[in-house]
Amino acid sequence: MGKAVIEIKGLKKTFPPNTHALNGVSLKIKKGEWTMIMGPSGSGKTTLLNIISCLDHPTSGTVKVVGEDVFKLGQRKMAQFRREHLGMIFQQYHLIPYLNAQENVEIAQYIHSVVDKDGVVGVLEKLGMGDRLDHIPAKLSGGEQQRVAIARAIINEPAILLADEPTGNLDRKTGIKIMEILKKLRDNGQTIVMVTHDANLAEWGDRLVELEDGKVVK
Amino acid sequence: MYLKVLIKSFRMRKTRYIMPTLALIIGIAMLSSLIMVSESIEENLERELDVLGPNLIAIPKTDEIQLTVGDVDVGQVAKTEYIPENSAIDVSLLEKEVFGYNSEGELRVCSDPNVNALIYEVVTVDNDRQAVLAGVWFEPMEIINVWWSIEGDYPTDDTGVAVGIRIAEKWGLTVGQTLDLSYVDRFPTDPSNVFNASKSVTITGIVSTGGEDDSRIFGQLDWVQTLTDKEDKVNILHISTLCKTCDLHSIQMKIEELIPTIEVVIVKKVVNAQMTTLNLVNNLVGFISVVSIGGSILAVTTTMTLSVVERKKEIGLLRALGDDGTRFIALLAGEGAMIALVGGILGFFVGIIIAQLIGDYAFSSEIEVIWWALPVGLGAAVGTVLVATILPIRKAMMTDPVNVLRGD
Repeated sequence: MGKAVIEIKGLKKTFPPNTHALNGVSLKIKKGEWTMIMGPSGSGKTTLLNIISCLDHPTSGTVKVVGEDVFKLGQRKMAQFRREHLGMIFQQYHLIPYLNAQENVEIAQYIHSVVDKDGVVGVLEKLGMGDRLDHIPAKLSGGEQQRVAIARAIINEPAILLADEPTGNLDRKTGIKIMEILKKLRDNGQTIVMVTHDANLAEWGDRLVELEDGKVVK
Repeated sequence: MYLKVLIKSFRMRKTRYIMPTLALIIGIAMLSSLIMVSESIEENLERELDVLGPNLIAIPKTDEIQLTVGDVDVGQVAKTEYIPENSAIDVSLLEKEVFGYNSEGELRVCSDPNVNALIYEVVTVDNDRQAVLAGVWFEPMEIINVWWSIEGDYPTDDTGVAVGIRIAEKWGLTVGQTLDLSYVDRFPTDPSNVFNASKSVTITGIVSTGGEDDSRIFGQLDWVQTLTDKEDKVNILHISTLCKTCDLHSIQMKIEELIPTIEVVIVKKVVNAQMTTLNLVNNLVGFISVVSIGGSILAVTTTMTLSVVERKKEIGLLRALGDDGTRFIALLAGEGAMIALVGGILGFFVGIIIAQLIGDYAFSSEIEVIWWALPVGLGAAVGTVLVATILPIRKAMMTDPVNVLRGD
């Protein structure tokens, strides 16, 4: 394990009128570490992940990602930071419905202003999607869609992979396959921060962070 | 990648884009057809309003004899006052100096002026009847009075005359018949030396004018001047011009300024008809175009806004992947550009068809295809789509990725 790639200090997030989603969270996540964030519904885990991924802003506190105090960046710089350092996986995959599997991965390269079709095909093949490149999302199973989403998240080789309940919409068997993919990525040195409410899945990580009422309790 | 995404996105929403594209086609078709019709109408006006006769009359400054053109009272001409024939040539040559400018001195486009010089004298026909003999320039007269019809031909030399239908019917005159014309100066300056002359001429045509001229005999100006001892003199000038943007009052003043011995009268009925028709056409073009383009803007705005609402997740995803908004805007603008391109080009060609239908129905003539209306139509289509996408783009930029990517 390396030095900290995420440093969070005194993080608070309050939603109007008076809901404290995060209430003074401090946390360090090291390079190459697979961190599981767990907690009951409403504990603030997704809010924490949204703030780490720079999609949401904290009410107070600091968040340093790969040494950058991200909330001191302007909107454009923050978008650039996101595409250069972060990869995201969502519970509902969020693939673009009119693009096929390969193009759904290429779109991340397009936003990153990079074109490497062989690289895209290579990643999809590694994830077992080599024979499904031309399929649009509607023609793919949930597990296959999530694999495409993982390929999209890692195609630009981000420093940190952020996953929000990536197996939440999948059956157990398919969920395990996705976890195995993530484990391989972690074994190759990928830093992963994953939100889950499943204690069994949480055991796959190197470290477990438990949230309750917006505070780290473990 | 951009083109691939653009084309696939457009293809997926093609049914949704049919309505705004149709609206744009209609808008651009109206605009380009009306440009074509308007241009042709202005050209037709030059021709067809000529049917209404001269729109300016030049007469000597001191007039006493009542003269009319068609039903229009143009003033009086003194028996002894004449305009030098050279003045008619001067007016013809004044195009750039007078007809090319408006009252503010700005250069304007006018049609070349048609000028006819006329002299009227009473002559005796076949020793026992009297009629007014008009000396004219037949070439401009035919252009200015295009509604006149002739059985036979206008004379081409000094041996022929055209006779008004009223006296032809009254006296039983026919084409080919010979007339003896004689002139005696009824108001000689020296009563002991009265000028008189006579000439035999052949009737080459019977002319129908629908007015007072039906009772006149027409011959070429030069020999009529010789017969009546009025060399280089004329009573009146008929001037016809269509000036799209300058006012006839300024032309009137400039002619009077340059030729001080004449007075220029505007034939108001003709002028008003010209101006009213032109204004109507211009207002119609403006109104229908504005309504059509306004409708197109509404249709495109509605569709684009719906498209943005539908694609909230796509926008949120692109933001999550690191788009600062520019790539989605480029995508939306690209879709708008495709609508504009299709709408602009098809609208132009539909406009040609509409213009031809209007031409057939309203003017019974073919409307010329104005090719510069194509870039104008395309420009209008792009402008329309640009305006129409402002609101959807603002809406897209305000999309919060956290909300749209949430699992609910």
